[in-house]
Amino acid sequence: MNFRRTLLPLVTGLLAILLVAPAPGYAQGTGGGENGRPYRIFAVVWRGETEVEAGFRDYLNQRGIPYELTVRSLELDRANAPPIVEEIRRTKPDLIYTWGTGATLSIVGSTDTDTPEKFIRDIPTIFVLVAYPQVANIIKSYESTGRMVSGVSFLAPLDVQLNVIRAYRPFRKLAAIYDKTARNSRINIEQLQEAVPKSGMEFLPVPVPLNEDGKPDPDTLPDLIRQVKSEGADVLYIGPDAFFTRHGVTYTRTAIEAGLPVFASTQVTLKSSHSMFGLVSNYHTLGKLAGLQAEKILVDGINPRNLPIAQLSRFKFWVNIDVVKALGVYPPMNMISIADFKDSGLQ
Amino acid sequence: MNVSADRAAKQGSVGVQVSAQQRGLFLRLLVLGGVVMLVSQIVISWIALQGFEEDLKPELNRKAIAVGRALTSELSYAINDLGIPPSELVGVDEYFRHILDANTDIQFLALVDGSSRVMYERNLPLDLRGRLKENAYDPRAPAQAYWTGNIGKYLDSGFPIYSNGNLNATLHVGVSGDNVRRQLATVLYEIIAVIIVSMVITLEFLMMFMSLRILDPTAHIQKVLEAGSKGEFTQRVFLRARNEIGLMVSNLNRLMYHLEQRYLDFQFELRELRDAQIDPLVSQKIAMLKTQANRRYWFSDRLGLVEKTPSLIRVPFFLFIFSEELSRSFFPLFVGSFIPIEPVFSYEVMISLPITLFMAAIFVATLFAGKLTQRLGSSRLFLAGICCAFVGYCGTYFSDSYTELILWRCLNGIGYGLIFNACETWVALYAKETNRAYSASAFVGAIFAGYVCGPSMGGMFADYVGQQMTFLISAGLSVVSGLVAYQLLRDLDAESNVKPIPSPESKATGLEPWKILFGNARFIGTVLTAVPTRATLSAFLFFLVPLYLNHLGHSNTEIGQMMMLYGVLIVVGTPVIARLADHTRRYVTFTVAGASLSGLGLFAGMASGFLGGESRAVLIAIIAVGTGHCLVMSPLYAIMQQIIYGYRNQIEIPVAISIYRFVDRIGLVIGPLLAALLVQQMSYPGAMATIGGLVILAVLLTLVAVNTDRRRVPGGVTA
Repeated sequence: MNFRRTLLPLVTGLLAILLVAPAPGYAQGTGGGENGRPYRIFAVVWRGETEVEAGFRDYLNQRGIPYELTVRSLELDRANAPPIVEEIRRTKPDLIYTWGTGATLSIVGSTDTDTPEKFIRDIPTIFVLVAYPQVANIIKSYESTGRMVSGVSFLAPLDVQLNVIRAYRPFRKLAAIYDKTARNSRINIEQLQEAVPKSGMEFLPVPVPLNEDGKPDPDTLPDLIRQVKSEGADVLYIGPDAFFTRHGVTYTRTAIEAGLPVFASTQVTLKSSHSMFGLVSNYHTLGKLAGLQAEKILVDGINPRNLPIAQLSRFKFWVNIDVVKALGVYPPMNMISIADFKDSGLQ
Repeated sequence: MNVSADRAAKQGSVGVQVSAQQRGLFLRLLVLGGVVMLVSQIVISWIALQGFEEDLKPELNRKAIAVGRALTSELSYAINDLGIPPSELVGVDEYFRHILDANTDIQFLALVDGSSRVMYERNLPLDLRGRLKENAYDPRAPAQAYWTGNIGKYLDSGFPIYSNGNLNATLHVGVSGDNVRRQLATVLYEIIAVIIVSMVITLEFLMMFMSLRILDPTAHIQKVLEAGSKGEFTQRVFLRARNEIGLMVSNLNRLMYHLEQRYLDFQFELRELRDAQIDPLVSQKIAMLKTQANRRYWFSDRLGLVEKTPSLIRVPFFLFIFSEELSRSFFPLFVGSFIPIEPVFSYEVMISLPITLFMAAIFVATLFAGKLTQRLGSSRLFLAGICCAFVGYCGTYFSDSYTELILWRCLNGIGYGLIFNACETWVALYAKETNRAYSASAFVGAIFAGYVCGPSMGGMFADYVGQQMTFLISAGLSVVSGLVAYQLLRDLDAESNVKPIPSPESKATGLEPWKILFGNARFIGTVLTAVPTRATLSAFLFFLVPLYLNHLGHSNTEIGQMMMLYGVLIVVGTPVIARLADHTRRYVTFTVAGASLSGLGLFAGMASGFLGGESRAVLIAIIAVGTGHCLVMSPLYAIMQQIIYGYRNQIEIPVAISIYRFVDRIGLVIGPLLAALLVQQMSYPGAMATIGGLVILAVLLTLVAVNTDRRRVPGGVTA
């Protein structure tokens, strides 16, 4: 009697698992997509694959979620988007993955776009590396996105960034030279204008002058740095600004010559320039977090509309020690044990 | 009839005389035992402490070395791996401060360069700045991770930081001998507290066994022998013991039995002889002889008589008070952890409420305890009280809300009230007219012994096993108390000699006695001193002291030890003062002086700067209040008895006592609430001083009351 009660469900359960699971590694009874085939994920990146995608794959592999990942790159140009959109329409993947504000807007468009037919609006999408998704009109709010899109936030909260800057040294005046044509930069400056005075520093925002093409002129950077230095700035700030991803090296070299340390809020800037320090998300961990969001959509069947934007609670305190030495602005002892020391290849 | 009354009176006086002699012997034995115990405990503790000191220093140094190694590895990383020159390290001061905050055993940290010049330091004493080279790196010595040496009173360890094989800097980590001494002092206080408590407990039990097994039986044997010498053989001694006295008792009882048998045989033979006579004259003579014999010797068929003595109840009562006092030193803090996020009243009032309601529960329990005593008898009432207390303690242990806590504590209060009444009635019933004061002192002594043992032990338990767990220990102690009471009193209940038990409460319903007493200025004066004295006890000692000392950062153990001081003072001081007051008969002077002292002592908090710190000020206040209460208590009771005795024709004495007790307990109930309201408005020292001010005011009013009375009734004060 007891046997029947305990054994029967057990045996049935085992049988069910055996029948449903078509291949090894198909754990947690996830079932896969329709008819048990792997989930098809379509990734659109800005400029080749990064550590984020590696983290994303690692997470899905660790969880035993079967997937096929197709990756397309926009190669730094949104003009490359239409054929990719077309391909997505044709292949109908289960999930779209987009890297950065540019790629995300190229594929899914903004919430209030006048030409929704140019974008994919009906396939679940998750974005990574979008600095200001709400201000860029990709989502309605962080809690409830209002469309088939969700994602992960990668910037450390601004007040935390500023606290780190102040903990490093009691800097007095923070200057931000920025590209006023870029939406992200403008949003970033607006937020800094409010947050910096609260942190006990003065704020000095300086836009990069435009050249004849109406684009920010990189040649003006050395003069700008000297200008802010003369106005009393003792630390520079680079937000999520594509202009500095391109011209970071010149910019930061000039800053070092002027004796000004640079704080960067994104890993890409820290890695590709000679910024001195920054508080950033670990890209691999960020990718894993995106994997978790994907699992919730694909496996748990949660509508991205109801899936809040996920955020990391721990960030990496990145210090380029070669820049530190060049400037002679050494980190305080209390921060040495928590910092991640790197070499930016200044020599 | 008259003869037997006279005889009884004589017996009584003899019995007391004998026990007074024995008490002298007993006291000497106690003192001797106590001294031997104290000396041996001190010697053992001393030896243990020596060993402890030996162990403690290396232990502290081990910690310094662990910290030093961790710091050196980080400093070395900064200097060697990151390439920061030692002189350009940033935030070292802040860094050292963090380490010292987390490791209070370490006295100072210093980073010196290759030539022992101090680059960075934290807490390095000024006189040591130039002396660090006394414990510097010795280039001749083989390379080592660290070295340890003495600089002044400090134990200093040096940790070298090498760069490319050269000494770049040295980290110095200093441990102070003061720290060792301070830790030893903490241990010493704990040992002293344990010695005192174990002494008190041992003496309590010693006294119980002495009374039970030796004093009471020998007094009774004496009584039986005395009676026997007068021809009365009606009594037997009842004792179940296999010691010498037990043997003696059984021999005595056998002797009495044989005597009685012989006497009965003799009577029988006389009767036979008389019945065999033909001559009526002879027969009459024999009958006369028989009557004469009957008048000279009395026998009875009673098997034995058990003496009920007041001291029987003392140990169970002490154990119960001990269990109750265990939570005394931390109870307000314990309550603090139960206060809901959005309290109904202010935080302070919320803390005071369980204490106030506990006192109120005692108050209410005593109101109906009188009738219960009549119905159940005091030993059953005692056990009923223990049951309430046990459930209350367990409930407190398991409670997880504020309301629950209050309910269980009230049950505890009811238990306290029942037990208090049971013991009081027991003592009142079985104390002899001639040793009433002594018996009362046995009763009060149990409470005081509890005051000594409870807070200090409770504080230690709370620190070692947690506050909540301490209530389980209390529950265990209450069970022991109940078992002892059951063992001692069960035989007595069986043959309960049904004396009508006076129930003062039931008669106190009329308002007439109140009117009479409160018409007396001296009574009012006495109440004016008694109520603030009680209120000081519950407001200051039970409420403010734990909260204030905790606020100052003292552990449960330390709070308990300081509170224990009050108990020690009361135990030592009260009998001395009682005797002194009886001798000089200056009761009012003692009372006024004591109350004033306790009132003034409460101002100590205001003068903490002058007294050497807030903790010391609290300690001084405790000492002042304790000494003050020693001076007040017995003389106040004596005055009260005088007044009540003066009205014995108008009011029954128990009724008058119950009225006094009723008023007196109001002080206990309102005390914590008053203190809470004061703390809410001002600082702890301010609240203490305000209570002190109220006490002084009450003393002044007492003086006015007594003086108006003196004018009206000449010589009334010292009568």
